[in-house]
Amino acid sequence: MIYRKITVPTGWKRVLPALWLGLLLPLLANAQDQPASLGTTAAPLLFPLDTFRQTVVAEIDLAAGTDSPVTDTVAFAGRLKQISMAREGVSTWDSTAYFVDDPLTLERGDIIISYRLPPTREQEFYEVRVSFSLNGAPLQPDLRYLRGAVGSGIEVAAGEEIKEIAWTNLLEQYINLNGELRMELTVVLHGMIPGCLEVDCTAGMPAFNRKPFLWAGIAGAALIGVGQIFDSRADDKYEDYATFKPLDNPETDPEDLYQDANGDHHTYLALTYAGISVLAVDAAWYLIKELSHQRKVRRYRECCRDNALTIRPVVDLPQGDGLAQMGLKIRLNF
Amino acid sequence: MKAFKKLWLLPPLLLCLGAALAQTPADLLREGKDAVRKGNLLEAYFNFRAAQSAAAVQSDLYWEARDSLGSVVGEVREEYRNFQSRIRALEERIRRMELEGEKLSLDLHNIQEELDEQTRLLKAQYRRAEAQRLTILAIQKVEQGSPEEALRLAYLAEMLAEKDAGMSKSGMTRAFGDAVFRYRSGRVSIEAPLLNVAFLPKTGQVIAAGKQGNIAVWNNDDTNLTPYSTFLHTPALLTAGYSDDGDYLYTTSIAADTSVRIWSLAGREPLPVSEQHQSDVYGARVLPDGERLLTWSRDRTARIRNIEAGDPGSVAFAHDAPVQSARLSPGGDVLLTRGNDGQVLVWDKKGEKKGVIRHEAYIYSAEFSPDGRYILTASADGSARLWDVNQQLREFKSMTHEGLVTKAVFNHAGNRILSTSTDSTARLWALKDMEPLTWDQHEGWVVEAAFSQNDSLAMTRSKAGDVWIWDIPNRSVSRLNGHRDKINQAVFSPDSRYVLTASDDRTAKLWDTQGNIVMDLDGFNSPVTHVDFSGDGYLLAAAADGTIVVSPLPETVRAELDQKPFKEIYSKVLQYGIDCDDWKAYLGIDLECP
Repeated sequence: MIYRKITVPTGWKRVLPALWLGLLLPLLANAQDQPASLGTTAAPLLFPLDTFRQTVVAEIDLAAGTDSPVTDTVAFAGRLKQISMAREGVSTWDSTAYFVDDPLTLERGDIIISYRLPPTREQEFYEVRVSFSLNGAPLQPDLRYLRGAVGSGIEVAAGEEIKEIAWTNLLEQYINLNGELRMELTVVLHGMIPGCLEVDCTAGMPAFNRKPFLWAGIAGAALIGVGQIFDSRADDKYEDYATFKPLDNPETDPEDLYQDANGDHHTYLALTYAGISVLAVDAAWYLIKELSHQRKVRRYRECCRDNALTIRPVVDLPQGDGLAQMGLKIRLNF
Repeated sequence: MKAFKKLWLLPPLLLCLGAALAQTPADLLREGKDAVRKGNLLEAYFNFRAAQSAAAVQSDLYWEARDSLGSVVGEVREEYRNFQSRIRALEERIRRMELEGEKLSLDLHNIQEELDEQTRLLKAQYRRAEAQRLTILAIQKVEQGSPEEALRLAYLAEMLAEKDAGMSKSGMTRAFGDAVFRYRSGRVSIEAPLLNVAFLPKTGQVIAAGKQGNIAVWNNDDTNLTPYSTFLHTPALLTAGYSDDGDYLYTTSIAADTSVRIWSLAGREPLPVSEQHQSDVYGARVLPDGERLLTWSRDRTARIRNIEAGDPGSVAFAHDAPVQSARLSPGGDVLLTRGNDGQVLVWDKKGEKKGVIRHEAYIYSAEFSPDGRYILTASADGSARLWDVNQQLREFKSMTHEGLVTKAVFNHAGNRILSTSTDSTARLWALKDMEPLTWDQHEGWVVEAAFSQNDSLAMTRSKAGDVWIWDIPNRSVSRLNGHRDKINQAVFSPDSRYVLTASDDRTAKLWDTQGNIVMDLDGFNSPVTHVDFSGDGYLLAAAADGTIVVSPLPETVRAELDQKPFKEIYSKVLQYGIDCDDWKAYLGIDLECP
């Protein structure tokens, strides 16, 4: 190799590699897989894991006074007598974990609902809903007067399993609740589901388009190849410069020969760096995508065997003001 | 005398004698027959008589004369009888005619009177028909979206009705009211759900609070509602109210934020926040001095703090249970707190407990009498009771129902009490009488009661939504019929002339105290939940979706029209066939008829 006095590239030669990268990246960006599963979204989705429903029927006379004479501290208690209780639900763990012995009590005109929630794990929370009817007619609690563990996003720490909901200020709103009170408490545990939940077998085998990577590789190699041509030209011109005899060519300035050779050399360097960069990015990106694709293919083959049982969440959005319904769709391949 | 009476016969006899002497009997007989033919029976009589006298006795002439004489005499007699009967008939006819004449005269008089009456009735019917025609036109114009014309037509119809005491004015009044509503009402909205809406005292501004914690105030420039200011107290409002003078706005929020926030409405700026309560603040009220705020809370306390200075120096009143309400006596020296433990605690202004009022069950309301002497409580134990503040809270009077007593209120004079109950009755009690006036026609639990400002009327509303108006002096009760669904709220106007109701049928209605609909406020898309009157002739109605409509009262617009030249009102509806001359004569107005 001939020693060369290399100078920093100037002008358009300086931005050449950046231009190549600018062309290459969008090309590679097109090399995304075909959408093959829900699991490709960035944020993990939480799904209903467990549902528990408890229904309590009680005779109530909320405004009833005390049976015993009025004392200094108690003049009013209200009456509530539990008639029946029903529990239902699909539980992956221990369904009795949600029970308490006395789920419905009165406290000076407030209705207190007690229940148990097992501690939540990472990325789990409870959604608790409560509904009431009196003598068959639904009661619509004003949410401003519901206190305690009700609603969505309830996380439970160990030692804090016993929860309460207080429906307050009832006598000011309803005058009295008298008759058969039905309370329905629904607890839904949300979290990640182990298994093949994220795989959608109906979408077919995950596909991977490798052509963009191939074209990017070819482009990188082409850059290097063109660079070699410039390198050869630079060597020739430098040779001319090195062997230049001023007496043979008095009109020629040797410095021009040198600059010409140096320019080709810069072009060679720019093209070579750009080509190497393109090849490096292309290779790295391809490797990542290939591994990801192989993983998805493996999951697909695991989960979508002919006799595989798959479970997918189903979200039923409400038409009106009702709550969204979520459930699981089971698919069995034969 | 008899002989003299016959002397008149002498001259004719002498004449006949002379003639007889001169004539033969045959001549006399012939002349007699001629006289008969001529109809002169008297001459014939004398001729035949003379012929008989002159003829030889038993001769043919004699007998012929005699027969003729008899015939003439018979004819005379017959003729006489004929005349006599004709005279009698004539006299009878005259008499009958006289009678008929009298009757005709009487009939004529009666007919004249009847005609006059018929004319009057016809004219009245014409006016009524005209008034009805104009009313129908007005209603049509309202429906066609020409409320200004509707307003004028209804106004003219009302003028006609005003002149006719027998004409029912309700239709015209309602058409006018509807036209006023369509022509002059203004509309704004606030984010739902709506918590409360009202006119502010003094300024007449409209203030509305949403349950999400959003509060807005609008200027009411003759129903042209322009934003004045907004306030925010999140996450959700429990209560929002304002001082009696309208200087301050206060709000309380739910458990996540137990602060009480106060704003100066004039300066639109926040004042020091009260954060001493530990739980839901169920209510607040600016005390009559306008400087202090009374609050009560689920944290079992009531507190009084200075509005401008904030919490330092506030006085706490500790109850044994969540405090559902608190009231300061009119004199400002006694405070009561109502807990949800069936007890009312009574305090002096230093915070010292003066006594306890207990019922055997929950107490729904506790209020001071207007003079501050009594405390009136209503309880689920089936009684409302009066407690004498000046006599260590001695029970002064017990007023019982068969069911829970949901509310008991004093009238403004403090001499009557209206109690409501879940036994579907409402009872009006005089302070010193034992027997109440009971009304038992409600359709369910009676939950609301109020007196009009002048105490002559009262109103009770059931949970099912039927509203009854009590005419206290006449001891009569009548129902407001007209809504198609339950009534959510009913309020009296400050002048006691109107009742305004809000209903689930998505309308509000303005009623006169006789139960006639004066204005129908429609066009809402959800149940109407709130209504209110301003002190300066406006009303508002608000729906659950946050739509608020403000309208002038009909009388406000009527007064404006009364001030205008009649010609201006009249000329704009001339095309509807109004008879100018008739109006001119009927109404006594100096009109320039075209």
